[in-house]
Amino acid sequence: MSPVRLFIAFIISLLLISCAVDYQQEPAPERQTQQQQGKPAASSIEQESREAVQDAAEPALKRAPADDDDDMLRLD
Amino acid sequence: MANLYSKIHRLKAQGWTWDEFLHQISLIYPPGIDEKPSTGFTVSHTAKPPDISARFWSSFMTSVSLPFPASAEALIGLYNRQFNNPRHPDLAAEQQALSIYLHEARQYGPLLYRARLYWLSGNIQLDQLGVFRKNGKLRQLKTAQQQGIEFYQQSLSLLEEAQQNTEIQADIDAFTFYKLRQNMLACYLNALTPETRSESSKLLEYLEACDFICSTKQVLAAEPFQWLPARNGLRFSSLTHNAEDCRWFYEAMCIANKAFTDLHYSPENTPSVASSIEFRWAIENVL
Repeated sequence: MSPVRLFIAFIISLLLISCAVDYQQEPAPERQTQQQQGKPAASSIEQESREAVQDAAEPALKRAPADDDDDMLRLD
Repeated sequence: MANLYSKIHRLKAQGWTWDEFLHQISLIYPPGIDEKPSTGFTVSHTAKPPDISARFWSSFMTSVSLPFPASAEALIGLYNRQFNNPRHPDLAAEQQALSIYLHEARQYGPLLYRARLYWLSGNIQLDQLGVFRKNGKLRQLKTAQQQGIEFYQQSLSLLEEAQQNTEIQADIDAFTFYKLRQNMLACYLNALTPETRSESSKLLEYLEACDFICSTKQVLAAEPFQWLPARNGLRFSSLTHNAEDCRWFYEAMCIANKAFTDLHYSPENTPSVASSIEFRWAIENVL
């Protein structure tokens, strides 16, 4: 192989390696979509967590005192 | 403890003597019970029940006076102890868990067992009505009311089926049916605020349909010691502005217990007649 051909083969190899590295670094369109879909899911979990905290903060249902209103007593 | 007092008197009305009580108790509880406080409790429902044996008394009376299997009664006792504990950390969670269990359990087993589990399911719904009402949870209130009525109705149907079944030969007394119908009536009443109870057409329609006043008079004729049905009779007579029935039930209350001659008398877990808005018409026009 002549030096010129060897040089051309070297340049082509460099180009191929460069393209391969770029491909790996650039996020695939599918991956981008997945990430976009993942973001709302994460915020939905955050929202659920916030609701859970709000539920916990809301006072529990108070029990009806036995002699407050004159309710009918059940018979067993 | 009014129920326990009533149960003792029901057996006495059936001919049970005190010696017979002691004999039957000694068969299942060899150490026996302290006789003196027990006899005192049978004289007045306001007397303190015998402390060492109150729970035993309750289970004993249930075992000899109710037609239901002991396993179903045990479950009812378990729930009642949870419900009557004012310091229970999370009664709603217990009610929900038990309801899930009952949803499956009431589909299988003997008729009387299933009937009692439906009864317990109705109790759980009825017990929640006051809580939902006071907290403004109207959707849950309506659902619990409907389910309570349906469960009691299903229990009633199964009891009627058991009574007609010649193989079972269930001995179900009229008071058992009465109790179920009064619980259904309670589902209508307790879902309403006290101020609106005299104006609810649904409540008054059911009151007439179930013939509550007449059946309560029959119960009291057979068991004059029952002050609770007499008080409810007076309550509904007052709500419907029936002066004659108000007089009848007030006299029945006083026959059951003279303490009711004082309108400010307040038995355990029950407000006095004078302090309850539902008796206002009777107080102002009859009593």
